[in-house]
Formats: sequence, C-alpha cells, structure tokens
Amino acid sequence: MAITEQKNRNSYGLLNSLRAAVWLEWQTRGNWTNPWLFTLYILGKPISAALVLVFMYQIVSGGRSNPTILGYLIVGSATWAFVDTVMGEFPRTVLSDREEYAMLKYVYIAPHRFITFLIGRATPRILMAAVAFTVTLSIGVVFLKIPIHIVSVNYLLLLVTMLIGFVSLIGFGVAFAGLALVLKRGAWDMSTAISGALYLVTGAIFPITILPGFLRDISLVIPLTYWIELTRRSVLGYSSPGMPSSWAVTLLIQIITTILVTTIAVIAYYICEHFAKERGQLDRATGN
Amino acid sequence: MEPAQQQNLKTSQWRESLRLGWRTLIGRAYPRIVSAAREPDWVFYEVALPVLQVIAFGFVYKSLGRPQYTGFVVLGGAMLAFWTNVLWSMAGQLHWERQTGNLELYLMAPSSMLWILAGMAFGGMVATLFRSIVILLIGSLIFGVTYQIVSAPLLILIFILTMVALYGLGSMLSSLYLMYNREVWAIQEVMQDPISLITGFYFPVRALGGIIGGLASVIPLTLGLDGMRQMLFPQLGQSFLPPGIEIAILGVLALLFLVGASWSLTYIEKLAKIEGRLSLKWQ
Repeated sequence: MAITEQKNRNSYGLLNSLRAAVWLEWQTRGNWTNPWLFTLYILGKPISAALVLVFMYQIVSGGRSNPTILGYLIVGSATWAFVDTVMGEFPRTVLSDREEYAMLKYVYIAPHRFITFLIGRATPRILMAAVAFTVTLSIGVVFLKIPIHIVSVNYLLLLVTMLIGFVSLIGFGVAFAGLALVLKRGAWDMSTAISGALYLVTGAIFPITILPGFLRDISLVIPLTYWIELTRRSVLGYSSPGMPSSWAVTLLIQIITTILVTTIAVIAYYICEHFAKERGQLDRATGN
Repeated sequence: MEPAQQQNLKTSQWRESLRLGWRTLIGRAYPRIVSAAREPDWVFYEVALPVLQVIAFGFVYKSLGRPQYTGFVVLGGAMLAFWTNVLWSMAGQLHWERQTGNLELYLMAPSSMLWILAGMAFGGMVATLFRSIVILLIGSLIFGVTYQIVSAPLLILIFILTMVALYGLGSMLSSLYLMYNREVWAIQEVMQDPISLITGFYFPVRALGGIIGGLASVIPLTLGLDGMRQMLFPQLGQSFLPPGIEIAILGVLALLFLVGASWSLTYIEKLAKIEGRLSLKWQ
C-alpha cells in the first residue's frame, strides 16, 4: 500500500515538474509577442534553410528541377528542424537560467529531478518544430511539386521513427546541458556548432555515400542518420543510397543506436553535473 | 582670453577627446582579441565545427555533380563568420551588457558610446578575420578550390567597404535593441537564417531574381559577397550587378549605417532614459 502511494506521489510529482517546466518555457520564450510574429519566429528558420537548398539546386540544374531530388532535400531539411529547434534548447535553458536570469540554483534545489525540468522546457520546442516540419513539407508539395502523396505516406512508420527520434534528441540535449554546466566561454556556441557538425554526417541534405570513409563510419553510429532516413522513406517512399534496403532493419538500428547514445548521454550528464557541483559552477555566472 | 589662447584650448580639448576615444576603442577591443588567446576553446566551437557545416553545403554541390560551385560555399562560410559576429557580438551586445549590469558603467564613462561601439567592432572584426581566414583555408584545401583573382585592389576595397557597412549596421541595431528585452534573442534568431538565404551565402544572389536581390542589397553582405565572388570566380559567372555599381552602393551603405548608428544611439539612448529601459533587466 505504502509503495503504491509512493509510486503515485512520484508520478504525480513528475507530471507536475513537467507541466511547470512547459509552462515556464512558454512564459519565458513564447509570450513576448503577438501570435503572427511568433509564427514567423517558428517558421522563419526551417523554411529559409530548406529554400537555401532549393536555390542551390536551381543554380546547379539551370532551372530544370527534378522533384525526386527536391523531395530528398526538402524532407531532410524539414526533419532537421527538430534537431535545430530542440537540441539547442537544453544547454540554452541552463545558460539563460544561470547567466541571464540567475535562477539556476533555485531551480536546481527545487524538489524535482533537473533532467525532468530540462525535458519539460524542451517539450514546447518539439511542438514548434512539428509545425515547422509540416509547413515546410506543405510548401514543398504545393510550390515545388515534391512527390509526397498524402494517401501513400506510411504514417505508422513516421510516428514510430519520430518518437524514437525525439528520444535520441533528448539524449543529445541532456548531454549538451551537462556540458553547458561545466563549460564557460564556448557554452553558448556549443550546441549550434555540434548541430552543424551533425548536419554534415547524418545525411540530412546529401547521401552519406558521398562522405569520406571515416565520416561515413561515424554517420552509421548516429541515430539521427536512421531517423532522417526513415522519415524520408515513410514520406517519399524510397530509400537513400548507403542505407539498409529494409525499413525494419533500419528501424532496429535506429532503436539500438538511440538506446546506446541516450545511455551514454545521461551518464555524461551526471559526470558533468558532478564536476559542476564540485567546482561550484551551478550558480557561477561566467559573464559570457 | 586671447583668440590664440582660445584656439590652443580648443585644440587641446579636441586632442584630449581624441586620445580618450582612442583609448576607449583599444580598451573595448582588447578583451575581444585577448580573450581569444587566453581561452582557446573557441577554436573548436567557432572554427572547427563551423567548418564542418561549410563542408556539408560543399558536399551538396558535390552530390549534385557541380563541385566547381564549392568555392561559393567556402567564401560564403568565411563571410558568415562576420555576419554571426555582427549579429550576436555587435547588434545584441548592448542588450547583453544591460543584462549583466555593464551598460550603466558604459554610460557613466567619460567617453562617447560611439567609441565603445567602434572598439567592439574593431575587436570583433580582428578576431573574426582570423576565424574567417582559417575557414577559407581549410574549406579551400578540402574541396581543392581554385581562385582566379581578377583585381586584388578591387577585392580588398569591396571587402573593406562590406566590413565598414556591416559593422555600421551592427552598431545601429545594437542601439535599437535597447528598446527591447526578451524579444532580442528571438529577433536575432529570426534574422539569422532568412538573411543567410536572401544574401546568398551559399549560392549567387542572382538566383533570387532582381526584386528580392535588390531588396536584399540593403544588407551589405549581399553585394559584398557578390562582388568578391566576381573578383575570385570570374569563370563561374552568375553575377548580380557590375562590380563598379556594387562598390558605389556599398560606399553609400557604409556612410548611411555609420551616420544612422550615431543618430540612433543618441536618439534611443535618450528615449530609453525617458522610458527607464537602460537598466531594465529580465523583462
């Protein structure tokens, strides 16, 4: 009886922490403007990133577009919106709460797990990225005639790969938050810089077969590679060069790499947290 | 007082003001340059990893069967370092200084804020120039980019005019941002990628057409990049405007933004004082 009550209390506490963190995220980052400007804020980055690729392709093709290639570029870029929007939120939460609002120590000593708080803060960003993903694909279908047919999309595969993808994103984010606790000057740039590096090796905008051997090997152990591939496969219906031909095998590899990366990420977070506590960095503003 | 004495006094005051301004400039530029040497982790975050992003866009051209265009990407990536610096370390700087409590100290200092902005610009430019050169060298080596310099003096002139106009724009924005609070971060984020698109960091701006390209020319990087590409990759064509016209427009933009920065700083500082926004934090 006592154990059940304790479990109920824990899950209630977990939900409460998550809810409070989501609300806080909206209050600090979402309510600064009117809904139209906020929509522009959500959509500006992913649509621009996709259009950069479209114009690069237009230059190369001399205006003769191939919808299959455009589809490849647009879906990869739209999926990347999740990475760009969500992953950087974790270290930014740590840094802004520590450096800008000087609140990190109070959040940290509150009766909840800090990781739960971080996940809660990132949750609204997943919703924002989902809107950007949908709008970017819609623009691709309507204006660029990319071959996405609403009836032939494999929605189940899309949903499953997305959910697993979110887990890997949270894993990366948690590790970056840990690093942000111990880094000083480079902390603000870290997530953007690492996200840029992952952009290269995950096959987001070109097939991984074009990468030199060692980079291709790196790309094959990153779960984001399989996430982007399965998203492409479920939406466009074809596989990319260098990826397993079976979707089931690709999904299995995505699950395995996600478990590995997330486990390593959480361990890395706790190691960083330990050092941050030892060095007194939880409430030390670096002024950067 | 004799006219000669008055003249001497004026000259002496002017000299003193210039000396103070110069010292302020060097003083504000100093941490930007020296901190890079003291904490070398920026090499990893601001050079090594951004190079990988440049390489990613280079691979896009390679995968599309046009490796000759990778030079556009490499040059764009090198110039992107300046845009990032202007956006985050110039435009947003006074906002961060306000958050950390330094802005009040700047305003109480005996020298003009314009000298402080000039110091920020100078320090940022020098530090970013090094990063930019490293990105250019690494990118060029990886993709085997070859440059056919049409005219070195014109290339240098375009670069200098672009930098003056760009940092002038950054100075202007920095004072305008004093009117905002939390929105600053979002405004910066909103600006970063769409501007990468319309200024043509990774492709010639000509692809956007005359109207969008013309509107994008208000941002000095658009014409600066196009002009430099014409000076470095004449064999690829794809120019937007002739270099002479681009130089003239860049000159006008440089002047406009410098005058605009001076005007907006005075005006916004006054307005911000009236509205009590100079020391307003965490709003």
